[in-house]
Amino acid sequence: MAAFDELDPLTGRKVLVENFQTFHEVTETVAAPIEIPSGRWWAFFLASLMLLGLLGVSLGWLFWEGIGIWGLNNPVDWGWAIVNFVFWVGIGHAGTLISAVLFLFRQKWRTSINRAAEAMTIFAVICALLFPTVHAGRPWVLYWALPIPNQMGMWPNFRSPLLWDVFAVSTYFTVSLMFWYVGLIPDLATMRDRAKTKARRIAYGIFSLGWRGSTRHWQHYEKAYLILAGLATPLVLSVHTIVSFDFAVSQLPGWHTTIFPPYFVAGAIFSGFGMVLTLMIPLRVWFKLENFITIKHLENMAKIILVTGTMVGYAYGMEFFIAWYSGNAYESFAFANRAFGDYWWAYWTMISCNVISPQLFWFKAVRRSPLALFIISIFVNIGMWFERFVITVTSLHHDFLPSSWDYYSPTLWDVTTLLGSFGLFFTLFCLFCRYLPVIAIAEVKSVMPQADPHYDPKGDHHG
Amino acid sequence: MSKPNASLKAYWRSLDAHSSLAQGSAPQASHDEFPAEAAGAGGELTQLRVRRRSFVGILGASTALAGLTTGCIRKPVERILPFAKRPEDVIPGEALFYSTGFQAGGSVLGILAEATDGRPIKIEGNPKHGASQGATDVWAQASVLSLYDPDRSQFPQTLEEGELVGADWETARAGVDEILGAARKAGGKGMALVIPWTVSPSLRAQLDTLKKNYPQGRLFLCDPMAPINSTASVEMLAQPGARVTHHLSGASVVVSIDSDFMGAEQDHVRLSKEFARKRAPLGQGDPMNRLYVVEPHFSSTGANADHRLPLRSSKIGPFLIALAHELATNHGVSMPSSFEGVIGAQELGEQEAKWVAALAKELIAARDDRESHSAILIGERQPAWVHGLGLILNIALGNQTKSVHLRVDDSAPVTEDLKALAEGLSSGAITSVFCLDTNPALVAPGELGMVELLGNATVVHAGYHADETARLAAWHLPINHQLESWGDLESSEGIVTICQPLILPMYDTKSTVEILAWWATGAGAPNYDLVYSYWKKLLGGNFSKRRWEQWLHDGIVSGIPRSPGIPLFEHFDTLAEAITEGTEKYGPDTAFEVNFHIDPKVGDGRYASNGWLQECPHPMSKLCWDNGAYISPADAKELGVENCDLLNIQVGERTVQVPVWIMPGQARQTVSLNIGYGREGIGFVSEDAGVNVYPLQAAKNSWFVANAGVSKFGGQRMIYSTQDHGTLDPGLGYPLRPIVRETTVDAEGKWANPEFADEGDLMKPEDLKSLWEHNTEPTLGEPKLIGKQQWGMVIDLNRCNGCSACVVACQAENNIPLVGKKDVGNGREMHWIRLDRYFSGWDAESPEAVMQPMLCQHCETAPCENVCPVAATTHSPEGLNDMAYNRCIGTRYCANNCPYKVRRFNFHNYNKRMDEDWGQDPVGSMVRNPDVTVRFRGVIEKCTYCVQRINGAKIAAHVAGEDTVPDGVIVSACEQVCPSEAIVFGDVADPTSRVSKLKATQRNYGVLSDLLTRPRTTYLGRIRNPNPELA
Repeated sequence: MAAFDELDPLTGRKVLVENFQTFHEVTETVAAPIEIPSGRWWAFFLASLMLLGLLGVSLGWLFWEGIGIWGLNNPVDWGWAIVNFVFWVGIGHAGTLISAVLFLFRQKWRTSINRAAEAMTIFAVICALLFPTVHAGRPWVLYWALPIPNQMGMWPNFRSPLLWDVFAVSTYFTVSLMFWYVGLIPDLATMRDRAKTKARRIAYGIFSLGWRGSTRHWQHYEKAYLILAGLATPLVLSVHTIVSFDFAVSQLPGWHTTIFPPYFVAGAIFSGFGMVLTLMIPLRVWFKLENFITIKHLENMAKIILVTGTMVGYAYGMEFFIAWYSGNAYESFAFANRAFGDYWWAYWTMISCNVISPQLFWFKAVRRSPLALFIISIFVNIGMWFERFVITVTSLHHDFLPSSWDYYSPTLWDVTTLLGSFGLFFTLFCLFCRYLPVIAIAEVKSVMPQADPHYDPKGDHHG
Repeated sequence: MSKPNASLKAYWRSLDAHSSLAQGSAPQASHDEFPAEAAGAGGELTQLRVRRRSFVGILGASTALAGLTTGCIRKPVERILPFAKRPEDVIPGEALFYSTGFQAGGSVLGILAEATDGRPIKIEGNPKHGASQGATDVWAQASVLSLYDPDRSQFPQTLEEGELVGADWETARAGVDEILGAARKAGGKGMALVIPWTVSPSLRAQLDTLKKNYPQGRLFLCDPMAPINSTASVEMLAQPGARVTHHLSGASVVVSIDSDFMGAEQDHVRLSKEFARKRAPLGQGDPMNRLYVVEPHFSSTGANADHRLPLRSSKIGPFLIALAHELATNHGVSMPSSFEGVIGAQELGEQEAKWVAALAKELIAARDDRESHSAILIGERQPAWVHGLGLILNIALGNQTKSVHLRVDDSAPVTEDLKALAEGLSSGAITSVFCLDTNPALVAPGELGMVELLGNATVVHAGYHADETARLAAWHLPINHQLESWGDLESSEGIVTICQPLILPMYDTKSTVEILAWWATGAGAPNYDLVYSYWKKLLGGNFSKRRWEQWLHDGIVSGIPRSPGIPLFEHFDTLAEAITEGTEKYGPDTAFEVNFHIDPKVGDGRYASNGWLQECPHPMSKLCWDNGAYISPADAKELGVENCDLLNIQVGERTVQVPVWIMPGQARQTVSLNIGYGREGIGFVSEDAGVNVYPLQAAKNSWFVANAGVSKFGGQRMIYSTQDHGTLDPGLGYPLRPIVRETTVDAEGKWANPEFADEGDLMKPEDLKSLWEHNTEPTLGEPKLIGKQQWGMVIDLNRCNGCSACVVACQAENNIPLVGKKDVGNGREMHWIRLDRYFSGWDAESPEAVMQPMLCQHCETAPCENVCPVAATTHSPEGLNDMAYNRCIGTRYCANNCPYKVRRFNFHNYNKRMDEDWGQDPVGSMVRNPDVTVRFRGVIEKCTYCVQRINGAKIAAHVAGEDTVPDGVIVSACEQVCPSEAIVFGDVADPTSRVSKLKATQRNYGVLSDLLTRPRTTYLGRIRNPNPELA
């Protein structure tokens, strides 16, 4: 770790890749984990696989026995499954934000983290999609929610936010996947060219689509990438807006609030960056990527977390204010019940993790300490899970008629399903680390000083 | 926007809720992360029954999932068989109704039983029968499920080495004949016949025969649900066979002295009906009766009272004496001369004294009013002398032939009580005991030690289950269900019904009359002949086949000779002695008093194996599948106990541990226990359902015992209520929502607040703006209500007494599955209609209560419809909120968005579980209504307004060439069963329909209508009629 930031000799700004790497060194460093197996990877992979197995058992039992294995009851018809769904969708936000929005804003520092962040997005959205699928009472007829023409002329209900969800999340998933894949093509070609086994050569060969790095390829590639970035950018805002409609469009006090769309988007970015930090901090050490994912990168992300964390804090406060300002006493009760009712512990966990813990990022030393960042990122993940729990459960458990009020507690199977979804996520992420370059090699090279035609290694530049 | 009305009455659901409202405090320690209840529930919640086979199932399902195959869940393949040869005069699928009778203790109901394709599936009241007048009660409703009880006794059994083993009728006959022969030889000496309350003329005829053939045989009555004390009082005053019945249709003042006449007392269906009819003012000035209730335990009758006084049972007799004294001394009511010195001033509390003065005034006013009268109803739990005194007061107040009717039932069997049986058994005077549809080993008071005593005698038991007595019997003989037998029943007023069977006995069983005829004469005769020949003989030349058929058709026997006798009261001195003796007996009132009650669900235990009744919430506590020790909040505090903590209750040497359920309105220093729970060995349903409290009962007065030891036992037994789960503390400034609206009426018939039904909404109706109102064309968001008839419902909160008959009727009509105790604990009960019970008033020791039936409101702008992603729930052109089970994918979004929380989700495959796990016998599915889909796991269901009945009536109307169904032709199951006629269903588009007229009254309001849901179900606000002197 550099004691102070290195500066780019041309721009005078902080370098994005530290310790004067050559292009070859960059390729070697990034390709190493793919080409040289490591024990640590196996340990992680097997652990993740075990959790994935737990998911399999949980879902098997779920399909066999029904939703009753979870802790849901009469007023609380949505529980952990929906909480997990929103949690994972939220995590899926950072990737596209980093790759598309920061791309459009010419934030060059994004290049060292965008590949992994996008992968995280895709895997998180896969986990997210799992939950609405399995939480349905009869998942085997879930396809009825898709507008498939049929002889009965029976269409889904286009007024239902759940249907909007189907479109929003699946569109987001498709565009994210394409964006990620397009970005991967030059690197896949690199891996193809470095491949030492036939299987690798064929596999990388197929997926690199015959990339030869010609200027024409680069021209088309960059245009395609820009267009996809443009397409993905509104999706960053739309997907969580529409997820928030699941709640906002209903009429339950605590759900029925207009603040939800921006509040959800801010929360999603917040949680997404939290998860990126959780993943990147160990990754950069284990894969020796400190020169690419520098302290400055981490600090930038910490700043985003601070901003979005403060935004959700504002939203939490504003919910209370509006509930009071509306003059609707039942609305006020719904929020008072969150903070001081049966689930007060969930609410205060959420506040501590989401609003209080990011405030430490006002201190530069905290922002630049990987350990502190890692710990706080875990808190952010926990806090954001609890945010969704608070929204979903506390609003439902005390709704309109006091006679129906009840308490909800999860069962063992709720817990195993959540753990299992982490298994799915980490299994996919391990496979990604093992078979794909975790850093966009081509893009990183493009932001290194050497990529600049004016760069003179001897420092004798022409102005 | 108007603020919620601050003057609204405060309703609270439970004590936890109430205490924090009263203190206005923040939540306290109850808000642990996992409160004890939740942790306890969690233990049950997570309990997983992975057996070998289901584990392989999981394995298979996971493999299928791993293989990414779809469709791993298939609906079960069930083959059906058609009628290959159609029985004559039977149209498959067409329901047929047969009139028959139903008896529970002293109450007889004329019923119409519905059969489809030979299966009895539903019970309705016989509108022609005076005791039911078209309505029924929970017990009659649920009786059809008992028919298919897989745990009922299916063949004769005999005791071999302490175990009951199966036998056939031939050997059973030979075995029992041997015992009978010996008894007959001895002239009946040493023989005891234990019978229930018998109101069947043909059965009584067989009893007479038996008496002739076994002259020294003794007859014992064993029936906790029989009106023993009220009968004893009138027999004591007049003559054996004298009977008293009550009528409330003209009474303007009703005083219930520990009488739950809307719940468990004799003739509760008719009394509820008569009471409710006097309690439905449509506008100001309409007359209303006034109900006073004095009782130790909050009963549903108490919930309907205008004034309720919680009082220990042992103080209730003295209270009545004080009332008599007040009437005699201050109001000049003449009492029998032998009462002198007996009826004197009593030591009363301030409140009671106030009550006595006010009541006396009120009763006198009612007597002096030409157009009205009063009624004093004494509960069966009170001893005979209290009944006798009540009867004297009624007569003195001129209520005879008005609210009190007397008659002589000269064929009534003369019986002895169980105490005499116990004495006979212990002295060896009785050596053989024949139990006919009775279970003395269970229901005899614990002090008698009946189980040990019966062990010394030779017992022959005929019963529906191989029950506690059967297990002591040399021979157990299975008997028919009421719906399998020919018989006859005479109601308390003397209306006789011939009971027809709807189905051949499903198992190898015989009817009670067949068995009694065999015991009496030694020879058998077919069930039909025994009943038919009795009536043929009775009428002699007047009998004709045609007449018989008319009786069967109508369900009423007409033109039979009657005894004209009216009992003559002459033994006032006997009553006076009984009063003196009775008042002396009570001990000091400082110690706890234990009260026993007939359970409103399982009765005295006879319905314990009926799942519908077990799962039906208790009208007041809302407990399912369990009984609790009801104690007052203050006593709970003193004892340091909370709900579900075990309480050790000791009477004499006998102790029982019962979980506490804190009940507002319970009299101080009393514990109320419901009998009929904790039965063992009669099958899966009643297993672990509650605690048997019979062992605590005393021999002499079995209904309450003074001087009981009550203490905290330590430990818990989780019992679940459908309304107050754990500690749900609203507090936090929860504003009072005008869900239930009520006002009071004064003596002139003026309402304290004539606008009460319109007040309290967050928004005034005129301020509510629809999103769609600017569109001239109906949009996606608005249902097209183009049907000629528009369905709607009105529920009168003034009439509803919380009896829960609608809950069970709906369950029977709509194939609603049982979920079991564990899932009730998880909050997953499936009832489509529930009775929300709210307490009001700030005194937790003596609150008021109100019941609110809650079912799908069929909102015109239903919040559930918008959010379903697959349009499984949509609006019908006639205004029904329809639910297509087959389309439902189970997202449960509709349930979340329903403000009334009336949508129910099939969390498990409850129906299949009911068929398999709950009885290992597919016979249970025979009770299902073929007109209603049986729902699979994973779909939402809810009240449909009985759409199958609506469509049935529409089809019939269309066949007849009509395009509308006349008002009153369609009745929903809940409306049909309701004894108090609280529910009215009909066409709201027709201004002349009953429902439209009711909706036009001032009392009409919609619950949560400030959400602009436009509910089609509306309520008529409650009006209480308080006495200004007691207010």
